[in-house]
Amino acid sequence: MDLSLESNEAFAALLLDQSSGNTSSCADEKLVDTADIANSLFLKLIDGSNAAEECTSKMPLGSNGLSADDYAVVEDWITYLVDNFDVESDGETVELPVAANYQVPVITSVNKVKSFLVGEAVTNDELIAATSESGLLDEAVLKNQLIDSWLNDAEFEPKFLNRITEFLEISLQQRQLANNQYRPQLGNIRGQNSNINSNMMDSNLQEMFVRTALDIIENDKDYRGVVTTREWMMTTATLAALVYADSPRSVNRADFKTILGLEAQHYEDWNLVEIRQGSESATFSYDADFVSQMSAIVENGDSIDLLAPRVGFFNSIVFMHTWETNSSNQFRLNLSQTFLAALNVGFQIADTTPENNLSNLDDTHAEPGSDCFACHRMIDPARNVFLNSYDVDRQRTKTTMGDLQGDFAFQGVSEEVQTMDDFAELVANHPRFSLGLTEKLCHWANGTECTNTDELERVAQVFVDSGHNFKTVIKELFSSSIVTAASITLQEGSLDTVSYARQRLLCENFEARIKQIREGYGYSVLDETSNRVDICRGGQPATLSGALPIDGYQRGVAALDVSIATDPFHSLTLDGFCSQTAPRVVGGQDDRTFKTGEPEAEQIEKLVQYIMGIPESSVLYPASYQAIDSIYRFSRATPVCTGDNFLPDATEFDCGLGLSRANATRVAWKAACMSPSMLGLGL
Amino acid sequence: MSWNRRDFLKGLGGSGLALSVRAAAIGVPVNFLLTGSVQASEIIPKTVVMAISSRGEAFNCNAPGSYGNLSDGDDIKNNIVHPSAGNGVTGTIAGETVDASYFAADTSVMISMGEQQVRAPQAYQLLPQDFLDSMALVYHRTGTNAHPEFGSVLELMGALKSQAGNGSEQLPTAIAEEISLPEFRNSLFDLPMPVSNQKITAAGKPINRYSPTGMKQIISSGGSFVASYSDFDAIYKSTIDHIYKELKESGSSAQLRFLDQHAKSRADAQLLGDQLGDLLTDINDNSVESEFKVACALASLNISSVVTVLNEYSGDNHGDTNLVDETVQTIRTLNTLNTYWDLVKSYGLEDRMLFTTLNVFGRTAGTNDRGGRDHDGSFTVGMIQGAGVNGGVYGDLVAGTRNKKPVEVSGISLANGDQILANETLSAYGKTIMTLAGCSEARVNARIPTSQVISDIIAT
Repeated sequence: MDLSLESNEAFAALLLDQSSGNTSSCADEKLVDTADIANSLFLKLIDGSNAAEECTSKMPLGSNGLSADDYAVVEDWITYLVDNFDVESDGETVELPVAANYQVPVITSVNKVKSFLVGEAVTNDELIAATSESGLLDEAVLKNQLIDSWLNDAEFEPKFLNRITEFLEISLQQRQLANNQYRPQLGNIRGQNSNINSNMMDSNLQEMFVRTALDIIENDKDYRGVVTTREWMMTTATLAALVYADSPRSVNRADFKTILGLEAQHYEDWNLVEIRQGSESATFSYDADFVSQMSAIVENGDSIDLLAPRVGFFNSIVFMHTWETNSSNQFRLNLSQTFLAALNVGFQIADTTPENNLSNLDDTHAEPGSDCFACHRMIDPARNVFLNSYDVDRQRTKTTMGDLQGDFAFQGVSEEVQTMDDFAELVANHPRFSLGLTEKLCHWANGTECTNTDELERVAQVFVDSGHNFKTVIKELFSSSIVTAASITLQEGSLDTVSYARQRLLCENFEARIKQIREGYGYSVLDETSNRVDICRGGQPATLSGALPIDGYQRGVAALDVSIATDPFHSLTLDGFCSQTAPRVVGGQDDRTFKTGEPEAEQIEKLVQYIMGIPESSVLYPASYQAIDSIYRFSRATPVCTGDNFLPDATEFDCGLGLSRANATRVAWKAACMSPSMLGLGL
Repeated sequence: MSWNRRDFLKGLGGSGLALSVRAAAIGVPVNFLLTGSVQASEIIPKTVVMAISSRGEAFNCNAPGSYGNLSDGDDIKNNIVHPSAGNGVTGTIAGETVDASYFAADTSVMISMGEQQVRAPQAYQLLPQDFLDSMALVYHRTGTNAHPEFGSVLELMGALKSQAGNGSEQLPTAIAEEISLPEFRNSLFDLPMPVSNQKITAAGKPINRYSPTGMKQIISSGGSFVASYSDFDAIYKSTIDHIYKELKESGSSAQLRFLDQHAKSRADAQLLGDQLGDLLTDINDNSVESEFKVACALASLNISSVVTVLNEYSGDNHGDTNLVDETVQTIRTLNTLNTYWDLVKSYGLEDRMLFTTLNVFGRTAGTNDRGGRDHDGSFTVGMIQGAGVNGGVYGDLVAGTRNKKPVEVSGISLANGDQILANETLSAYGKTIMTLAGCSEARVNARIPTSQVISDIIAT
C-alpha cells in the first residue's frame, strides 16, 4: 500500500485528538489519541489482528481490518503525524454540563409510548400499574402488560395497526412521491376517457403493500416477509393493474383507465392473493368479464400467475413508480432504494465486500481502482435481477425474461444471484435487516436518529430471536430506556427523546382521544368522517394541520425524513389550529365533546386527563388541573382586563376576559391542545 | 415622530423578531441597537440566499466561461455541447423573448463581469450589468457523481466542521450558526430556512421545510379567536412555567430545548404574521420564482440569515433529447435572477444580500446516446453574487479523459500565484462563501481547516 498525502499538516489537524463526531456512537473516541496511539479509533478499526468489538464496523467495510503489513504502514504514518505536528483546534471548546438530575416522570414515558402505539391518553389504572413502589417506571409492566395489551387486545389492536400504518408507508417507501398518474406502468389512470375511480385507484396502489405488511404483523408472521412475500393484499382493481403491467406497451396499448366494469366494491374487496411465477405474460383484457375473473380470484383468495417477479415491497407498482428508472440509470436507483429501505444503509465506496462477477458492468465505470468502480462493481451486477424482468423505459414486464447473471455483494454478504426471489432472500437474511428496522423504528419514535448502538443491537437481537416478530421488536424497543428515557443518566447532548408532534401523529392522537372521551362518557357515536372527531378534516384546520411537518423519506437517504419544527411558523400553525378547532369540540350540540351544559369541573378534568394526557395519579396532575381550571375561571371573570393579570395557581380573579362559558372552555381547550405534553411527546 | 435608541427598544419584550425587524428597518447591525455602538471595521453579515440542487444541474454547461472561441481550434471549451436553435423552446428573460439560439455556441458574446471580459451565451446580456459585475462563477469539483451524496457535498465532503470544531456540518447551517448570533445579525432563526423541497440538516437532523404557498397559508389562515393573541400568550406562558417548573430547573437537554424553542417561537409568532403577511400577498404558487420572492421577504425582515431555494437549470436530464428541459429551465432561472435582483433593489438590500449556488455535481459537457446529459462531479460551477464580490470567472478547465467529459476542472489559479488543487476547490468555494457572508477569518478557518479562500473574488 502506498499512502500519498497532499498535506500531512492538514491531516494532522483533522485527526489528532479530534473526536469522531458528535452524533456517532464513537463520539467518546479520538480519531488519533496522541497520548496513547494504540487507543486511536482510526487504528483500532483497521487492526486486523485485534478481534475486539469496536464502536462501529471494522474498516474497510466488509473486512475484518487490514493485513499486518498494511496496518504497520498506517501506524507508522500516524506516529509520524503525532511526532511532527502539534495541532491545536481553533474551534470553540464546548463545555458539557454535568449530568442532569431530573427524573423523567413515569407519565412522560408511558404517555409517549401509548401516544405512539395507539394514540389514546394513558388511563389512571395504566399509570398506577406502570409505577413501581419506588415511584419509578416498572419497565417489565410497561412491556409485558401495557404494551402487550396495546398490541394484542381486541380493543387496541386495530388502533395499533392504524398507528403503525404511517411507519410502514415511509419505511417501505410505499407513498408515491412522483405523480398520481402512474403513466409508465399503467399508461395513465387519470384524465379524459377514464372509466375508473382515479383517486381510489391511487389509494389502492399506495395501500397494497402496506396492507400486506399489516397482514404480516397482525398474524405474527415473520416480518422478513415484507421482502420475500408473494402473497399480497389486493383488491380487484390492484390485481387488474398488476395484470395490465405484466405486458409491454406494445401489447396493452390503451391506458389502464379505459378498462370497463370496475365498480366501487372492486376498490374495497381486500384479500390475500398469491402471485406465482408464471412462464409467460398474464393476459389482460379491457372488458367487464375480465374484471369479473379478477374479482373472483380476490374474493376466493386464489392465486395468479404473473411473469413479473412481484416479490416483496420493492416490486410494488408504487415503489417502482416513485423510483422511476431510465435508460441511463437502469434500475440502479431501485436497487439502492431497496437497500436503504430494507437495511437502512446504502452503497459505500468503503464497502470492500468482494463481488463474484462483474456481469453487465457499465464500461464508463469499469476502471478498477476508481471511485466509480468501487460502487458500480456491486451495483451493476445486482441490478441485473431487475433488468432481467422489467423494461427500462416503462418498467412493465418484459415478454421474455433476460438471463444476465446477477450478483449480491453488499456490506459483508457476497453471493451470486439469478432470480428476484434469490435476491429477496439475501436481503431478508442480511445481518443488517434486523438492526436496520430497529434503527428506523427508534428514529420514528424519537424524532431523531438513535445513537445508542449497544441498546439498538440488543433490541435487534431480541427481534431476531423472536423469529422476526414485528410486535416483539415494538415491545422491546418501546419499553427500552432509549425511547422512554426512564432509566438513563441524562447528560446534556447525549439523549434526545422529545419527539415533536408531526402531522399524522398529532391528528391521529386528537382523533383517538376525542373518541376515547366519547366512549368513556357514553356520548353518541359519530361518523368516522365527522370533523367533530377527526378535527383535522376540512376547512382551515385541514389547511393548518396540512402545513405541519409530515414524516417521509428521500431519495438516497437511509434515515427517515423527520423534521425539526419548533420555529415561529410551527407555532403560528399550531396556534391557528388549536383556535380553529375549538368550535368543533366545544359547544352545546350533541356532537361536541366538551358540552357547555355539563359541569365545569368535568370539562377541566377531560381536558387534563385526555387532551393533555395527564391522569389523576400523575405527579403533574395537580398543577395541570389547577392551571387549566384557572384559565377557565380567568376567562369567565369580569370586569375585563388583560391576560397579564392571569395567575396559574389562583382560584379567584378580580378581573378577566369576560367570556361566556362556551368561549371560556374554548380558551381552556386551546391551552390543553397546545400543551407540551401533547406536542412534545417526551414531556 | 422622532425616535432615540432607547425609545426604539422599549416594548420589545425580548422578542428576537422585534429586534431584528427594527434593525432591518433602519439598516444597522443589531448590536448597535443592543449596545449603542458599532465598530468601524465591523463586517455587516449578509443574508445568504443559497440555491441548491441534489438533482445535478447543467449550469456548468451553459454558464459564462463554458463557451469557447470557435475560431480557435485548440480551445477545449468548443467541445462543450450547448443547446442549439431549433429545439423549439422559447421563453422570456427580463421581458425579452428568447429561444435556444441565445445559448448556442455560434451566438456567444463577450460580456463584462467586473474587470473581466468573459465569453458567455447571449442570454446573459439580458441580465442587469450591476448584477453581472458582482457575479463570480467558480468552476470546481464536488468529487461525487451520486445524487445521495448531496448531503456530503453540503458538508464540503467532510471538510466543514461543526461549531465545536469536530464532526461535520452543512454549509447553509454553518453560515447561519456563524452570522445569526446576537452580536451580528440576531436573526429570528439561527437555522437556515428552506423554502424549496431540497433537504438540509442541522447536526444531522432535517430542518422543516415550508413551501411559499404553505408559508402564506400559515400566516393568513390563523383567523380570529375568542381571546386575543397577546392575552392568550400571557396566559399560556404562565401555565407552562407553572406545570413544568421542576422540568425547567433540571430537565434533560432535549426537554429543555423543546420548551425553550417552544416559548421563543411563540413570542415571535404574532409579529412574524403581522410583518410577513403583507410581503407574501402575490405568492400564488411554489415556483422557483416564488421561492426567491419569499427569500427576499424573509431577508427584508431579517427573519433568517440563510434561505435555501432550488437551483434549477436542467434537473436530472439523462433523457433530455435536444436539451429541451435544460433550455426551458435555464431561461426560467435567468429570468428569476432578473426578478430577484429587481426585488433586492426594491427592498434596498443590495449591500446586504449574497446569492450563491451549490449542486451535487455538474452534468457532462457532452451528451449521451439519448441526447441528454449524465453526472459529472469533476466539472461543476457555482455562483456567488452580491456586494463585495469581484465579478468574473474563476477556476481552470483542462481537457477531460472521456468522450462525454471533454473538459474537467484542474484547480483554481490565483493572482498571487497560489494554486488551489482540484480536490480542494469545493472547500475553497465554501470558504469564500462563508467569508463573503460575513464570517470572520478565524471562524472560517476553524470551520474549514483545509484549502483557502479564493482571494481574487473578495473585493478590497
